[in-house]
Amino acid sequence: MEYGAPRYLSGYPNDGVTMVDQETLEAKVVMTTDANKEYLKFMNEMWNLGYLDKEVFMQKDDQYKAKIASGRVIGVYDQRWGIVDSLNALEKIGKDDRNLVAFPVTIDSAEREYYRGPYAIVMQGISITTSCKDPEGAFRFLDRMAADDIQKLAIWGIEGEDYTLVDGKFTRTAEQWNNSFDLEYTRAQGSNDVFNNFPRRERTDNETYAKFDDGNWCNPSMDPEYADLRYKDYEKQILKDYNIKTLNDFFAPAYPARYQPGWAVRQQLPQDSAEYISIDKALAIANEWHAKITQAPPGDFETLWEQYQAELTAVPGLAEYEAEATRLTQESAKYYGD
Amino acid sequence: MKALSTQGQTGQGARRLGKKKSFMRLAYEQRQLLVLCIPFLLFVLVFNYLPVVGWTMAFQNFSPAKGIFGSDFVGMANFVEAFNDTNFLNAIRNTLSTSFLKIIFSFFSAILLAVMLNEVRIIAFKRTVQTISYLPYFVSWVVASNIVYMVLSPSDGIINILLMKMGLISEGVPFMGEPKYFYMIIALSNVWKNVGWNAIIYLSAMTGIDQELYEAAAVDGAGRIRRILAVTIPCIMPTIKIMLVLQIGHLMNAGFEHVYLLSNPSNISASRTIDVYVYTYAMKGGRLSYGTAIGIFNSTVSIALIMISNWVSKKIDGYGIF
Repeated sequence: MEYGAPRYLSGYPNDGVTMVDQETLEAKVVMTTDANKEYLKFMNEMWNLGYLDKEVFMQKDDQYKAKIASGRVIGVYDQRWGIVDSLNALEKIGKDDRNLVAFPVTIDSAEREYYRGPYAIVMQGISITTSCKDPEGAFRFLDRMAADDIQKLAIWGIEGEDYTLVDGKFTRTAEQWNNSFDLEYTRAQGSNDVFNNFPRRERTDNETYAKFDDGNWCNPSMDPEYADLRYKDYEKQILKDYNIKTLNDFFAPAYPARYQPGWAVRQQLPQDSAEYISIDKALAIANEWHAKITQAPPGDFETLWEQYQAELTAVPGLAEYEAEATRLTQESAKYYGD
Repeated sequence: MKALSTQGQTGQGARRLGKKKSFMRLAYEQRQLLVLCIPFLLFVLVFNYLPVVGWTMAFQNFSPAKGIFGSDFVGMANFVEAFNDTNFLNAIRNTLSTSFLKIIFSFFSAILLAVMLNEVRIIAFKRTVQTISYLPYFVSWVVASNIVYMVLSPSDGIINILLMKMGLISEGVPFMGEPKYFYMIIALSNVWKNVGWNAIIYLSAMTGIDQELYEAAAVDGAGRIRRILAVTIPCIMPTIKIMLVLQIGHLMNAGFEHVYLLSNPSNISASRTIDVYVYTYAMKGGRLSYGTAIGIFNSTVSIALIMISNWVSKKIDGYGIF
């Protein structure tokens, strides 16, 4: 809300609290950008026209979810995982015509949208300690874990039990598909999330990396059959009406990562540094001012925006954060190939 | 004990010694009671005095990895930062206003309810009212705050619907969305939730009043109101005063969950109390030192407030709680 919406809407990828210029790789804190001003201006207009829910800044998360689950909500700006419980509830009571489907919304001047980013799954991961007696052996073990046959075992399961090879293609019966959706079954089988902390082939749109050498999908969710099983009837109807294969097709294809995503920058700073703390403060300020500015009479917009910016400028370390984020982003671009 | 015995040697020997002996004998006679006290002394020591060691964090840039003894010493920097932050000053103002209103309202409503219940002669009715009024006390603020939200909702809250049906307003008032209503919402929701419970203490004080006093007053021609003012209120005065002194000690503490759960971006300029401030600015970011510094400030003011109110109470009629 404080930074995600204006950044996505004006056509920038997910870089946390910063907006990274795609050409110069310069990072700016979203709250201080013109994009944010434009966004708030729009919100303010919508508020004064009465198009926004009057409780938009008052409700708690559960009240918001309950509202969506009641089927009275025509549209929201959110990420699916945040409201998925409500959408499931709507499905359960059969109000399919009230359910929500995602579209990539941007402002008119945005050149393209970056809603779908490179897949980044943050797990604890695995590390080799300095006191390891045989670091090379440990590394060879991890390397082995990343090999195709192990990956097939980890992601697809045991051949003959969880899938069968038909003309070199991985196929699953309906029962095998259902088993694969059952977390308890896959755990008992020793596949899937058991391997989460080891190197694994993640889902990606890039076909070169999305398939094993034998041409099978690394991730079963890329299989068209998977979509067919997972989509509900009303979703299939939408797909048919819009003549697309998956709901993802509404969006531009995932962009390739060219630099370290901006949301990772903050984790690299010491937690007691002024830069790190400045973001917490800026977010708290934004939280308050977004509500204040949106609900203000249109005439007050400019003065309130000035006051908001003045408060942000007064936060120590915010400018330094931008400089540091820019430096780290540009530095990281060297290590990301095309 | 050593100090006593050396004093005993320097003079006034006999009397001191006698005193010491009687103390020892008294302690011996009450040994079972003293042993029973040990767990509670330990409890107070461990949970109330030992944590004070943590106050050193306020003067450091504390990092859990380095520990209390290894962290960098920064002097008063954390306090300086807090008092230069307009949001913190705003938080002090909100805390004082909120808890002041809370104390006033909960205090008078509880006494009023207790007095009224005391006058009810139909036991069944009295019991019913008492049960209903203290039931909300057992509901957690998480649930209670949701009820407050629902009741005050501008679109389907009962209050707005009633006001609209009565023609007093033309469209729903966003009670939770405007800072100006916030203090009153806190004060009144606190009354709703706690009045029954708070009244119990006064009711129990009233059961101790000698019935002959009422009879004597009635013989002298005192009516209901007169009897309440001349007998009931003076008799529960010590209780009232203790409760007031105790509550003034909580003036710097507006109640975290209550305020935090009812706060939202719209009313934050009124709902940012010290607790909420510490939570958003210090705890969320893991800034333990900053949070501790504010905690010290809070405790110091609270202790001062208790001292002052106790002193005032003693001055007025000689009763104090310590």
